[in-house]
Amino acid sequence: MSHTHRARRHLSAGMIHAILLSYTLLALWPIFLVIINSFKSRKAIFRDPLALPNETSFSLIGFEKVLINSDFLLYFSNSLIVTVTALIISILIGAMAAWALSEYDFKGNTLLGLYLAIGIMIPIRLGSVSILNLVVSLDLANTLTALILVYIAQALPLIIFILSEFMRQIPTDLKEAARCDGVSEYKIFFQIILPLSRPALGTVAVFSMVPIWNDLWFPLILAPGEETRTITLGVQQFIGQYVTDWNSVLASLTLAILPILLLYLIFSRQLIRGITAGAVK
Amino acid sequence: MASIQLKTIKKSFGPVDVLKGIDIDIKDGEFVAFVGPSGCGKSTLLRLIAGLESITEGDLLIDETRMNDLSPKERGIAMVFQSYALYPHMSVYKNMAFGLSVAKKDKAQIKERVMNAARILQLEEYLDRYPRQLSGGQRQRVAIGRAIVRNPKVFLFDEPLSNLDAALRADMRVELARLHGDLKSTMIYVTHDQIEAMTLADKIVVLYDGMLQQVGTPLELYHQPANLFVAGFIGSPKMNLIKGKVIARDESGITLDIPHLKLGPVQFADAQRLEPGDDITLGIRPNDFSDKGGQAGELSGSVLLAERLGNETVVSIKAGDQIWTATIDGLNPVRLGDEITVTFDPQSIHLFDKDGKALERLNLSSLIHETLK
Repeated sequence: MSHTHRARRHLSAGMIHAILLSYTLLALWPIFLVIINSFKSRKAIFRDPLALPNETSFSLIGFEKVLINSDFLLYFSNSLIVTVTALIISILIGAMAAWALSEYDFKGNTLLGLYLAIGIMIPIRLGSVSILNLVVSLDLANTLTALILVYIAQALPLIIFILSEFMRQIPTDLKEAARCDGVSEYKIFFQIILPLSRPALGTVAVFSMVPIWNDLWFPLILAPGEETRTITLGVQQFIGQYVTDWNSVLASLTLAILPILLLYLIFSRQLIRGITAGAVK
Repeated sequence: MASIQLKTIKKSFGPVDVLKGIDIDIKDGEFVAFVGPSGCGKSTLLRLIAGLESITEGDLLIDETRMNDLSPKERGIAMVFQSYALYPHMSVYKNMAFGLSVAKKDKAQIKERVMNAARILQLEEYLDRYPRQLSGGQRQRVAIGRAIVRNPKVFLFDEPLSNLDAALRADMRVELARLHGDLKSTMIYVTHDQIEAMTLADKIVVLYDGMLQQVGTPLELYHQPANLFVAGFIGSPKMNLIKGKVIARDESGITLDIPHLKLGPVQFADAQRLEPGDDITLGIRPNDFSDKGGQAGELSGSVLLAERLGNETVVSIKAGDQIWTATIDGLNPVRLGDEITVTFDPQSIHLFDKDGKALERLNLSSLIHETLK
């Protein structure tokens, strides 16, 4: 009885792992292709796109072109500045809004919470035209500030939604103990609530960061100038109507993966904790 | 050090009146326990004193100063929560020091106060640990330490021991009593555990349904409960409360009609309140019964249940359709279904009029009389 039961459990665990593993392979496959081909010469890319680089096909020409002959480092730092600044500001503002919504009873609390959460369902791109108008009339076209502002608006709804749900679960006694201790509301927020929200902060950081880093749309319409291009937009210059410089495209994509991977590794420890938080007491 | 006055304190949550006018006078250095069943408003009352809830009506005075509109930190109170409410991301030392460091106290002074509290509570070796690495009793000591370091005028305890197991609870009770002896601060203690209230408190406040039932010393509450609720709430096993009628009243006392109970005329200080024919409730504590005989009151019936606790045996006695509880000698070989007769001193009974208000007993011992005054 218990034998068959255990066997069945093993089998279903094996099935789950097989499915997850095949999905992982599927998801990693394009990234793998990008990386191996970025280390190959142009001819080798076309001759056999699936082959690993060997002595004859190995070439760093793509990286050379990208790093030496183009403004790759500028695009790179633009992307980094935009992503990190937007992330920090949106998480800070979002956490404060979430705290206010979850902790304080005021008129229109629920309504305000709903209003702020609507942004999760309505894509910000629907407002592209008015955003462009606004940015132009504010004289912010072709600045990183324009991008940062838009990305903050884009990230806020989800951040507020997730964080306010999380903060509601922080025991009331803790806040009241702090109030009895004579701790001000700001100190309660910064020194107790924020540190305790770390798992949720990691989660929202990852969820907000990836779309910002990968976005092509807003850089294209709001900041297409040479000085303000982000990496995703910068890569486009290698893709021509007639000729695509695959070496450069693949090399810059490979390089573009690195920082996001790094940030992900930093946040993921929190993310995994965030997903499993509350599962076990 | 502080005295506290509550003057007709009322609290409503929307249409629900949780507290319906509470008057309490707490003297400087007193240990006061609020007891009552859950939902009676005792925790709400504590939170009103702490400043965590607003007072709907009435005045709260600490040291003669009105506190209604002041924030918790301005009231000079410290509160210990049932769930300990330790900051999970801070070490024991930081937990205790946090309140002081946000108040911008001098580092050396903070250290001195924390070390002092740690010494009192025997937490010195745990200062670097985190709350999750501590046992329940240690966590509760840290929570108390966090209150001590702030040197508050008033300590508020919200069921601080109810998350601990029985043995630890007994230990912590002793520690709390010692702490009150050392610090001599005013302490208010909310509990539903009457043993904690009886052993720790100078004065017990019994609350029920948002109203004050009785305020008094532990012995006063035990020997002269003001009404039926207090009589049933204080004392374990519960007092027997049996309905009956007044048959006659004369110089020798009141004669009662209680089925299956042999009882002569009994005397009460305010017996003239009762008239023949009045409905009354009679109360006898189970441990006022004895199986040794030789007392004027008598109850006979069959044994329904015998719980042997060793030092005594708690028996349920069925007499007619009434069930009485009595504690008898632990070695009495009584068995289920046996007929038993237990006796009691007629002076030990309590009597409540039809509104549930107690009659004043005579012949309470001088010790109790002293605490009563």
